[in-house]
Amino acid sequence: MTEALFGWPPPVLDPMGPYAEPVRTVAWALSGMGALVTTLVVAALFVAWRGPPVWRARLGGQTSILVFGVALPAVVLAALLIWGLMLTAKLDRPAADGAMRVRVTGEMWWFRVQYLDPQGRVIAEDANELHIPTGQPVAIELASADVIHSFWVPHLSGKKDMIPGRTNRLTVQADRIGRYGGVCAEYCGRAHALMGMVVIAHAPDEFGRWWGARRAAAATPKPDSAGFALFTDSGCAACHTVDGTRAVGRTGPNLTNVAARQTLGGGILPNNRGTMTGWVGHSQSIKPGNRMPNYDRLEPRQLQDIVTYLETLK
Amino acid sequence: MIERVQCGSCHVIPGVDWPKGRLGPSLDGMDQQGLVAGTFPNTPQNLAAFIRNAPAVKPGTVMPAMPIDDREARDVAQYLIEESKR
Ligand code: HEC
Ligand code: HEC
Ligand SMILES: [Cu+2]
Repeated sequence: MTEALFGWPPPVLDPMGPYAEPVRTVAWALSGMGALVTTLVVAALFVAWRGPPVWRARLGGQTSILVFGVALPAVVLAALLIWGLMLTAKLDRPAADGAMRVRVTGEMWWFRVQYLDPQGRVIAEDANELHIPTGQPVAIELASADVIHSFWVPHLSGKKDMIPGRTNRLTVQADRIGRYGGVCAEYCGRAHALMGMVVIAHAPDEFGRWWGARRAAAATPKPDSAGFALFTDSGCAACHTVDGTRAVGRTGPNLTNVAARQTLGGGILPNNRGTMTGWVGHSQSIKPGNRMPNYDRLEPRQLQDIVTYLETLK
Repeated sequence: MIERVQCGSCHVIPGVDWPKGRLGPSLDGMDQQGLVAGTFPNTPQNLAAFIRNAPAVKPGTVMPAMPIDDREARDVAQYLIEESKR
């Protein structure tokens, strides 16, 4: 998740696809304008303070106030506005028919990721992780299950709000394979700062293989084990879905392939047996306020069995 | 190292701001502690061995074998001892 915000060059200035390019241009133009205006103001201040009397008189005169205070800003700001709108209008260009479709829903405090077929039906569900092929636009529908969130993967696009009761559209494209961090960019409550995700861009044939494996995982019935019995008896199944089993809860992330994910807890932890155990046992100390209770009343053996079961889900 | 595998998801660790997991014990003061996991004398070797593969030396413990190698485990043990002295 932090990879969305840190690193050099900063991800906003390091576009990886055509839908992030204009954002960089605007960012540079604004920084440039800011620097220019600051220089002019400091220069004017200096003249007002130490400049020769003639200059000072001129600077304080009505003409300069009208020119620098009204005319110039009006013209420059209007021009900037029009130029900026023209640039960013490209970002809203919908992806062509036939482009890959996904829906990402902001939930407090994680991202539900659904892969859709051309008719818009959900074919696979995941959390905090979106896999895409490189070199082609992917149409994302942004929704929210509760409050306003904002979807932002700075390497791939600008920010766009996720608003309850509304579907916003965003197109992204990655031209290089890689792993691109994303965050929620609109304050949405207590664990907002720990709400992130990753986008993983594969070469198209590699993406095909990944998709095949993902579909196979959803289709294999999951082994009934001590861990699965505990998973249902401890209440996990009331909040979590594992495709192909009687666990069909919708409150939390779908866990059908949780062991194959790169992160846990909203893009904030690497996924290994340790972080998985720590999360299930005591998620509240890791991500305070998140909507999953601690399970520190389970026997160590039971916790281990549950985690062993979760590790088979890939 | 500690951040790559996030030992902090179960431990409060000196010098680590986040996460401050509370499933396992706090690792502050490891230099002063008598026993590792209440079981082994607290020598750097025992500490590193426990960090490398806890269930192998203490069967049944909730702390799993973490994805790190022997050298990294020794470094982490060293870090915990040094950091507790501050
Ligand atoms: C009250 C509903 C609820 C119950 C009960 C519950 N969870 Fe969760 N779980 C959640 C929510 C919500 C999240 C997402 C938290 C976040 O990231 O903010 C979550 C996240 C997780 C994750 C991390 C998933 C990911 O990809 O990041 C795992 C693993 C998990 N739960 C396992 C379990 C297990 C095992 C149990 C039972 C011992 C359980 N949960 C019980 C609601 C629940
Ligand atoms: C799943 C949660 C979990 C993770 C992840 C985890 N530990 Fe532990 N750790 C524990 C538990 C629980 C204990 C107590 C074990 C016992 O007494 O059997 C423990 C004990 C310890 C102890 C002995 C503490 C003492 O007071 O004697 C050390 C040292 C330690 N862990 C270091 C680490 C390091 C370093 C990592 C990362 C490589 C790590 N742990 C990852 C759960 C975890
Ligand atoms: Cu938010």
